[in-house]
Amino acid sequence: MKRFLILIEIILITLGGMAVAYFDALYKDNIEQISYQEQSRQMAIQETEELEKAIDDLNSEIEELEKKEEISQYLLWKRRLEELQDRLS
Amino acid sequence: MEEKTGRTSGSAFLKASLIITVFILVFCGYTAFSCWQNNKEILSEVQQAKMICEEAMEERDAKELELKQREKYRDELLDSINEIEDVKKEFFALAKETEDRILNGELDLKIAYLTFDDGPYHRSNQFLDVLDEYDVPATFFYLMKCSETGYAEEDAAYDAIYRRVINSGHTLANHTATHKLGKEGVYSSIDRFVSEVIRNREFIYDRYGYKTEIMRFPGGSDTSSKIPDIIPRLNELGYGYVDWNIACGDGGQLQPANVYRDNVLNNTKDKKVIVVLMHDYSLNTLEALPDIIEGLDKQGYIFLPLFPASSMCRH
Ligand SMILES: [Zn+2]
Repeated sequence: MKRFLILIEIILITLGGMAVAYFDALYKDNIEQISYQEQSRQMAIQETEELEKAIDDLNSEIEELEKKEEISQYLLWKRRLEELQDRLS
Repeated sequence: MEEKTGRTSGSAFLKASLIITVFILVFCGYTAFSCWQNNKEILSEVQQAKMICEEAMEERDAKELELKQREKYRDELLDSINEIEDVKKEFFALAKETEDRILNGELDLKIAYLTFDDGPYHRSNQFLDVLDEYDVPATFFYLMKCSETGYAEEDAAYDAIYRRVINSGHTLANHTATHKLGKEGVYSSIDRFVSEVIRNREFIYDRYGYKTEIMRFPGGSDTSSKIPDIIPRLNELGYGYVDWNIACGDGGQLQPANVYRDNVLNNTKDKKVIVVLMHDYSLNTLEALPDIIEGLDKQGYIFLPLFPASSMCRH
């Protein structure tokens, strides 16, 4: 009887310890998850900032190019070229 | 007696064991429960962190897509600009060849470069209308006329004129920023003159993205004794300069349109390539312009916009 009780107690203590260890591991895992997500988020934010800067730079480049395109009309110069070619032939 | 003692210690052990067991059960139960509770909370935090992270990633992906689209648009623009540049290059190469052949006597043609100085003016649009009507390209030696140089009221109207000159395929050229003559004027020092040219150049480039490559000295290249020393500085900036070999006369005293017309049409003798000096402010010049264009056309002239490789553009 005594031995039986001691055995039961040992089993209970073991089971209890296992449960605590299991939950503790789960807890730690989740904390890690959170810090991992936070890291990823920070990285995404940084990348977004870099992309925004690249877009800004590109936009000012485009603005310059648009100015250039606006002032140089393809059809006008093509026609002029053809007219001059006609005068010479 | 011994047996009784044995029984008593047995039941005490049983009691103690039960208490310990219950205690362990309660302790384990409580610990497990609180751990589980804790985890439930942390799980929702994990979920939230995931959501926020995903949002940030989505935003980044959207920006990435935007960048790609803008890059594609930029490449299209570059292609289109290159195509235009190629045609322009071809045109001016042919213009150069034409001029060379004319000057060598290989071609029975003549070239007229019509030039208008000192603008923009309010009347410039009327001159541009006439040029449009005859489909004649010309060259405009313009100043820097904007709010910064005291033309605040005219700024918007003049802005549209600069734009129109460039968009219509005329050559826009540099005639210094202020054209000021006299003691404090553009010829007061070499540096002053060069800075005037640079101001004009940057003004036009910054506003319109157009690079001027030709300039004309206010008053012509024999106006100041400093000019021989200015020319190398202009060459460094990539400028050639153009004078004229026919002046319609509108720079001096006001005269009737027919005088301006005759000043041009009667002075072309033996000139295969002419550069005609006019100003786009005079009503009389405007009146003479159609006759000048028609008269030169009859004399066998073709009209071209000035370009840096032209023999009329000196370095
Ligand atoms: Zn002038």
